[in-house]
Amino acid sequence: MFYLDSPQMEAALRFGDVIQGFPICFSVIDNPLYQSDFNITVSAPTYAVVLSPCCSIEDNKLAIAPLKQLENKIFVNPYLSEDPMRINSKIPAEKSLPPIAWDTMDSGEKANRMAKREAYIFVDKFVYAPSALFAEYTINRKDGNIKTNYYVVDFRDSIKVACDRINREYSPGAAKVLQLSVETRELMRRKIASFYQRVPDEDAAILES
Amino acid sequence: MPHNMNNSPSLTPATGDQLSEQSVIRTVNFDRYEIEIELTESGKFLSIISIKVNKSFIESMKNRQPSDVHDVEGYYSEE
Repeated sequence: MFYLDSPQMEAALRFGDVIQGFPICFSVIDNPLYQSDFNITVSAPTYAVVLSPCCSIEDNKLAIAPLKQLENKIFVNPYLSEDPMRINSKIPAEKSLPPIAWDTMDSGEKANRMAKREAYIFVDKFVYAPSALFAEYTINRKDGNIKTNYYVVDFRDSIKVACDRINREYSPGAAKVLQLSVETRELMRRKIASFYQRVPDEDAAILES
Repeated sequence: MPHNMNNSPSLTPATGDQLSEQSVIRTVNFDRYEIEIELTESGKFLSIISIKVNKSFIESMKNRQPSDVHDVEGYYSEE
Protein backbone atom coordinates (compact mmCIF):
# COMPACT_ATOMS: atom_id res chain seq x y z
CA MET A 1 0.00 0.00 0.00
CA PHE A 2 1.64 3.22 -1.18
CA TYR A 3 -0.82 5.74 0.35
CA LEU A 4 -3.07 5.54 3.36
CA ASP A 5 -6.78 5.40 2.65
CA SER A 6 -8.48 8.75 3.31
CA PRO A 7 -10.08 7.75 6.65
CA GLN A 8 -6.66 6.67 7.98
CA MET A 9 -4.96 9.95 7.11
CA GLU A 10 -3.80 12.10 10.02
CA ALA A 11 -4.82 15.74 10.20
CA ALA A 12 -1.25 16.96 10.75
CA LEU A 13 1.36 17.20 8.03
CA ARG A 14 3.88 14.38 7.65
CA PHE A 15 7.03 13.89 5.61
CA GLY A 16 6.07 12.82 2.10
CA ASP A 17 2.50 14.13 2.18
CA VAL A 18 1.05 15.35 -1.09
CA ILE A 19 -0.32 18.86 -0.63
CA GLN A 20 -2.07 21.39 -2.85
CA GLY A 21 -2.32 25.18 -2.89
CA PHE A 22 1.31 25.86 -2.03
CA PRO A 23 3.16 28.13 -4.48
CA ILE A 24 6.72 27.27 -5.49
CA CYS A 25 9.03 30.26 -5.53
CA PHE A 26 12.77 30.38 -6.18
CA SER A 27 15.40 32.83 -7.37
CA VAL A 28 17.23 32.58 -10.68
CA ILE A 29 20.58 34.34 -10.86
CA ASP A 30 22.90 35.11 -13.73
CA ASN A 31 25.96 35.67 -11.63
CA PRO A 32 26.33 35.03 -7.89
CA LEU A 33 28.74 37.98 -7.57
CA TYR A 34 26.05 40.54 -8.35
CA GLN A 35 23.38 40.06 -5.75
CA SER A 36 21.11 42.69 -7.22
CA ASP A 37 20.87 40.81 -10.50
CA PHE A 38 18.29 38.06 -10.09
CA ASN A 39 14.83 36.97 -11.09
CA ILE A 40 12.17 35.32 -8.99
CA THR A 41 10.26 32.45 -10.50
CA VAL A 42 6.86 31.63 -9.07
CA SER A 43 4.74 28.70 -10.10
CA ALA A 44 1.63 27.07 -8.77
CA PRO A 45 2.07 23.33 -9.21
CA THR A 46 -1.07 21.31 -8.83
CA TYR A 47 0.62 19.24 -6.15
CA ALA A 48 3.71 19.47 -4.01
CA VAL A 49 5.37 17.10 -1.54
CA VAL A 50 6.42 17.79 2.04
CA LEU A 51 10.18 17.28 2.40
CA SER A 52 10.55 18.43 6.01
CA PRO A 53 11.06 15.45 8.31
CA CYS A 54 7.94 14.83 10.42
CA CYS A 55 9.67 16.09 13.59
CA SER A 56 10.79 19.32 11.91
CA ILE A 57 7.42 20.56 10.75
CA GLU A 58 7.38 23.54 13.11
CA ASP A 59 8.65 27.11 13.56
CA ASN A 60 6.52 28.50 10.71
CA LYS A 61 8.54 26.88 7.98
CA LEU A 62 8.14 23.92 5.69
CA ALA A 63 10.38 22.39 2.99
CA ILE A 64 8.43 21.33 -0.06
CA ALA A 65 9.09 20.36 -3.67
CA PRO A 66 6.75 20.17 -6.65
CA LEU A 67 5.37 16.84 -7.80
CA LYS A 68 6.40 16.54 -11.43
CA GLN A 69 5.84 14.33 -14.44
CA LEU A 70 8.40 11.60 -15.12
CA GLU A 71 11.16 12.26 -17.63
CA ASN A 72 10.96 10.05 -20.69
CA LYS A 73 14.53 8.77 -20.28
CA ILE A 74 13.62 6.21 -17.64
CA PHE A 75 11.43 4.40 -20.16
CA VAL A 76 14.52 3.32 -22.08
CA ASN A 77 14.94 0.66 -19.38
CA PRO A 78 12.09 -1.89 -19.53
CA TYR A 79 12.67 -2.82 -15.88
CA LEU A 80 11.75 0.74 -14.86
CA SER A 81 9.16 1.18 -17.59
CA GLU A 82 7.31 -1.85 -16.23
CA ASP A 83 7.21 -0.32 -12.76
CA PRO A 84 8.67 3.20 -12.32
CA MET A 85 8.44 2.83 -8.53
CA ARG A 86 11.45 0.46 -8.72
CA ILE A 87 13.43 3.73 -8.68
CA ASN A 88 12.46 4.06 -5.02
CA SER A 89 14.34 0.96 -3.89
CA LYS A 90 17.79 -0.51 -4.33
CA ILE A 91 18.05 -2.66 -7.43
CA PRO A 92 20.61 -5.13 -8.83
CA ALA A 93 23.35 -3.74 -11.09
CA GLU A 94 22.16 -5.67 -14.14
CA LYS A 95 18.74 -4.02 -13.87
CA SER A 96 20.10 -0.54 -13.30
CA LEU A 97 20.98 0.16 -16.92
CA PRO A 98 19.20 -0.05 -20.26
CA PRO A 99 19.79 -3.60 -21.66
CA ILE A 100 21.86 -2.31 -24.59
CA ALA A 101 24.25 -0.59 -22.17
CA TRP A 102 24.55 -3.65 -19.92
CA ASP A 103 24.95 -6.13 -22.78
CA THR A 104 27.78 -4.16 -24.39
CA MET A 105 29.63 -3.36 -21.16
CA ASP A 106 33.02 -5.06 -20.68
CA SER A 107 33.16 -7.88 -18.16
CA GLY A 108 35.47 -6.02 -15.76
CA GLU A 109 33.10 -3.09 -15.44
CA LYS A 110 30.16 -5.48 -15.02
CA ALA A 111 31.99 -7.29 -12.22
CA ASN A 112 32.71 -3.99 -10.46
CA ARG A 113 29.07 -3.00 -10.63
CA MET A 114 27.80 -6.41 -9.55
CA ALA A 115 30.14 -6.33 -6.54
CA LYS A 116 28.02 -3.48 -5.22
CA ARG A 117 24.98 -5.77 -5.21
CA GLU A 118 21.79 -3.77 -4.86
CA ALA A 119 21.95 0.02 -4.92
CA TYR A 120 19.87 3.07 -5.82
CA ILE A 121 19.67 4.70 -9.22
CA PHE A 122 18.46 8.28 -9.69
CA VAL A 123 19.23 8.84 -6.03
CA ASP A 124 17.71 12.35 -6.14
CA LYS A 125 14.26 11.10 -7.13
CA PHE A 126 11.30 9.34 -5.52
CA VAL A 127 8.39 8.17 -7.64
CA TYR A 128 4.80 8.56 -6.46
CA ALA A 129 2.26 5.88 -7.32
CA PRO A 130 -0.77 6.68 -9.45
CA SER A 131 -3.74 8.12 -7.61
CA ALA A 132 -7.24 8.95 -8.73
CA LEU A 133 -6.32 12.57 -8.04
CA PHE A 134 -3.47 12.65 -10.53
CA ALA A 135 -4.05 13.56 -14.16
CA GLU A 136 -2.85 11.10 -16.75
CA TYR A 137 -0.21 12.41 -19.17
CA THR A 138 1.70 11.12 -22.16
CA ILE A 139 5.38 10.21 -22.35
CA ASN A 140 6.48 10.78 -25.93
CA ARG A 141 8.97 8.24 -27.21
CA LYS A 142 10.23 7.23 -30.64
CA ASP A 143 9.13 3.64 -30.05
CA GLY A 144 5.61 4.66 -29.06
CA ASN A 145 3.89 7.01 -26.67
CA ILE A 146 3.10 5.86 -23.14
CA LYS A 147 0.22 7.09 -21.01
CA THR A 148 1.00 7.19 -17.31
CA ASN A 149 0.01 8.85 -14.06
CA TYR A 150 3.12 8.16 -12.04
CA TYR A 151 4.66 11.37 -10.69
CA VAL A 152 8.05 12.11 -9.17
CA VAL A 153 9.63 14.39 -6.59
CA ASP A 154 13.19 15.58 -7.12
CA PHE A 155 14.95 16.19 -3.79
CA ARG A 156 17.03 18.94 -5.44
CA ASP A 157 13.85 20.98 -6.01
CA SER A 158 13.30 21.56 -2.30
CA ILE A 159 12.30 25.11 -1.30
CA LYS A 160 11.14 26.74 1.93
CA VAL A 161 7.61 27.97 2.49
CA ALA A 162 7.02 30.32 5.42
CA CYS A 163 3.60 30.24 7.05
CA ASP A 164 2.65 31.47 10.52
CA ARG A 165 0.25 28.58 10.92
CA ILE A 166 2.86 25.85 10.53
CA ASN A 167 3.67 24.21 13.84
CA ARG A 168 3.53 20.72 15.32
CA GLU A 169 -0.26 20.88 15.64
CA TYR A 170 -0.99 22.49 12.27
CA SER A 171 -3.75 20.76 10.33
CA PRO A 172 -3.82 21.95 6.74
CA GLY A 173 -7.32 20.62 6.12
CA ALA A 174 -8.09 20.26 2.43
CA ALA A 175 -4.56 21.32 1.48
CA LYS A 176 -3.38 17.84 2.46
CA VAL A 177 -4.56 15.39 -0.17
CA LEU A 178 -2.51 12.21 0.28
CA GLN A 179 -0.42 10.66 3.02
CA LEU A 180 2.18 7.96 2.46
CA SER A 181 1.86 4.69 4.33
CA VAL A 182 4.42 4.21 7.08
CA GLU A 183 6.29 1.69 4.88
CA THR A 184 6.44 4.06 1.89
CA ARG A 185 7.51 6.96 4.08
CA GLU A 186 10.36 4.81 5.41
CA LEU A 187 11.42 4.00 1.83
CA MET A 188 11.48 7.70 1.00
CA ARG A 189 13.31 8.55 4.22
CA ARG A 190 16.02 5.98 3.41
CA LYS A 191 16.41 7.28 -0.11
CA ILE A 192 16.68 10.96 0.82
CA ALA A 193 19.18 9.96 3.53
CA SER A 194 21.29 8.24 0.87
CA PHE A 195 20.96 11.32 -1.32
CA TYR A 196 22.66 13.42 1.37
CA GLN A 197 24.95 10.69 2.67
CA ARG A 198 27.06 10.20 -0.46
CA VAL A 199 30.72 10.92 0.25
CA PRO A 200 32.78 12.09 -2.73
CA ASP A 201 36.01 10.14 -3.28
CA GLU A 202 38.18 13.19 -2.65
CA ASP A 203 36.57 13.74 0.76
CA ALA A 204 36.76 10.05 1.62
CA ALA A 205 40.50 10.02 0.92
CA ILE A 206 41.01 12.95 3.31
CA LEU A 207 38.72 11.54 5.99
CA GLU A 208 40.50 8.19 5.91
CA SER A 209 44.04 9.58 5.99
CA MET B 1 85.21 17.80 2.15
CA PRO B 2 83.68 14.52 3.40
CA HIS B 3 84.05 11.62 1.07
CA ASN B 4 82.20 8.34 1.03
CA MET B 5 84.94 5.75 1.02
CA ASN B 6 82.76 2.81 2.07
CA ASN B 7 81.81 1.45 -1.33
CA SER B 8 85.01 1.90 -3.22
CA PRO B 9 88.60 0.90 -2.88
CA SER B 10 90.81 3.41 -1.20
CA LEU B 11 91.96 5.36 -4.19
CA THR B 12 93.12 8.87 -4.54
CA PRO B 13 90.38 10.89 -6.20
CA ALA B 14 91.10 11.52 -9.83
CA THR B 15 89.90 14.13 -12.26
CA GLY B 16 86.19 13.55 -12.95
CA ASP B 17 85.50 11.68 -9.71
CA GLN B 18 82.53 13.08 -7.89
CA LEU B 19 83.08 13.50 -4.23
CA SER B 20 79.91 12.31 -2.53
CA GLU B 21 78.37 12.67 0.91
CA GLN B 22 76.94 9.77 2.86
CA SER B 23 73.40 9.18 1.65
CA VAL B 24 70.33 8.62 3.82
CA ILE B 25 67.03 6.97 2.90
CA ARG B 26 63.77 8.58 3.90
CA THR B 27 60.17 7.37 3.50
CA VAL B 28 57.71 9.99 2.33
CA ASN B 29 53.93 9.51 2.28
CA PHE B 30 52.34 11.03 -0.76
CA ASP B 31 48.60 10.54 -1.33
CA ARG B 32 48.12 6.76 -1.27
CA TYR B 33 51.81 5.95 -1.85
CA GLU B 34 54.88 5.37 0.30
CA ILE B 35 57.95 6.62 -1.52
CA GLU B 36 61.51 5.78 -0.43
CA ILE B 37 63.95 8.46 -1.50
CA GLU B 38 67.68 8.76 -1.17
CA LEU B 39 69.05 12.08 0.08
CA THR B 40 72.48 13.42 0.91
CA GLU B 41 73.11 14.19 4.55
CA SER B 42 72.51 17.82 3.73
CA GLY B 43 69.09 16.96 2.27
CA LYS B 44 69.87 17.06 -1.44
CA PHE B 45 67.72 14.67 -3.48
CA LEU B 46 69.64 11.81 -5.06
CA SER B 47 67.14 9.19 -6.26
CA ILE B 48 63.86 7.36 -5.76
CA ILE B 49 64.49 3.93 -4.26
CA SER B 50 60.95 2.53 -4.34
CA ILE B 51 57.27 3.42 -4.62
CA LYS B 52 54.64 1.26 -3.01
CA VAL B 53 51.01 1.61 -2.03
CA ASN B 54 50.55 2.60 1.59
CA LYS B 55 49.30 -0.40 3.60
CA SER B 56 47.05 1.74 5.77
CA PHE B 57 45.46 3.15 2.61
CA ILE B 58 44.74 -0.38 1.35
CA GLU B 59 43.25 -1.20 4.75
CA SER B 60 41.05 1.90 4.74
CA MET B 61 39.84 1.13 1.22
CA LYS B 62 38.91 -2.38 2.36
CA ASN B 63 37.01 -1.00 5.33
CA ARG B 64 35.24 1.68 3.33
CA GLN B 65 31.49 1.27 3.06
CA PRO B 66 30.53 0.61 -0.55
CA SER B 67 28.40 3.34 -2.06
CA ASP B 68 24.74 2.39 -2.24
CA VAL B 69 24.25 4.17 -5.56
CA HIS B 70 24.80 2.70 -9.04
CA ASP B 71 26.41 5.24 -11.34
CA VAL B 72 24.03 5.37 -14.29
CA GLU B 73 24.97 8.86 -15.39
CA GLY B 74 25.43 8.90 -19.14
CA TYR B 75 23.43 5.75 -19.82
CA TYR B 76 20.04 7.46 -19.85
CA SER B 77 19.17 10.37 -22.10
CA GLU B 78 16.00 12.18 -23.01
CA GLU B 79 14.50 11.42 -26.44
